[in-house]
Amino acid sequence: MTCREFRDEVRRPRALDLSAAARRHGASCPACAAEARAAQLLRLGSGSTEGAAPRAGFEERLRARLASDPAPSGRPAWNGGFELLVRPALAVAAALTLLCAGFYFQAAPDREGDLASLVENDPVFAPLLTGNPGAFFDESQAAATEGP
Amino acid sequence: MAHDDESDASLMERAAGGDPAAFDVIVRRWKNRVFRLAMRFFRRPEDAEDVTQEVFLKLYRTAATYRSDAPFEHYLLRVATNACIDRLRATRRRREEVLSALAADTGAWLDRALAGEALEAQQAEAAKGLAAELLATLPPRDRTVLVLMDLEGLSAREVAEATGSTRAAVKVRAMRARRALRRLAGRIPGGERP
Repeated sequence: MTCREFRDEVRRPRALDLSAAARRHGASCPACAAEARAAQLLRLGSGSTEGAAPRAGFEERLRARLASDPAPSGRPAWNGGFELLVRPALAVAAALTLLCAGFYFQAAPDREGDLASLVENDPVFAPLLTGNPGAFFDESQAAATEGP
Repeated sequence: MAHDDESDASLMERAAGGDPAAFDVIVRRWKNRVFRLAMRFFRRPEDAEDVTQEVFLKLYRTAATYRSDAPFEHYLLRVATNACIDRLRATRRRREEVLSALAADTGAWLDRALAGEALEAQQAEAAKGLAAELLATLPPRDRTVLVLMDLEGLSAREVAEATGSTRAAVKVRAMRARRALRRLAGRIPGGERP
């Protein structure tokens, strides 16, 4: 028996007992023995399903759960809410945002001009722009000496 | 029963339209299949039944989203697999925690059970419980692939459909899961170390 044939036999869904040939191979091949051990662990730790069925009254208990949480059968409740309320609200909000943004940019003064006047009136930038950076430090020192 | 001969697709369509009798037929037809799958993951029948109910609740609420171009069993298996994975995530154990709490005698019983030796009923039950705890340390998706392929006999393609994955990804996951399972089996006292 080859290792591949051994693995195929071990992984058969209903493999309970290995054939004599597989047992002989497992005894002589440590890798296949480990494979068989792992397969056995899976089988042992997974519940037996032979003839398994839910307890009597399963349908009644299910009906009771459905009745206590009667979400529409069509789609999940949250999804229904999304389609009916949230989506239109988002569309209105997006339209209003676009409208406000349009008005703002139309009504706002020239932003480049604003920035230029800000720089020209700034006590730090003005001396730099006039080509006399020392003036800023002279004014600062004068203010310091005049202080209390 | 009025709907007993109807196809699953037709019953789902009726259920989506608010016909509870049609959904009853679906439940009667498929409850054992879903329950048996859940039992593969959860040893306590109460847990398996709870998951089975969750599957049918989900099925009922999403009946309108079912498209009959896909076989109903594949759709149901997907819903059931996802429910099992969610529950496994919530109950996943830490490997070191399980191994460190492992009693020497229980470990030895499990070791003997893995070697195919016959055990007394009480020892066999303890060995099964420990095996289940060890399996609960595997990543839920890995365990699902192993159960579906090696215990349920599904092909890689069928598992891919059930888990919303690709055939290649399922094969890679199965290979990785089997390696993890071999390592786990090797760490049981008396087992072979990798």
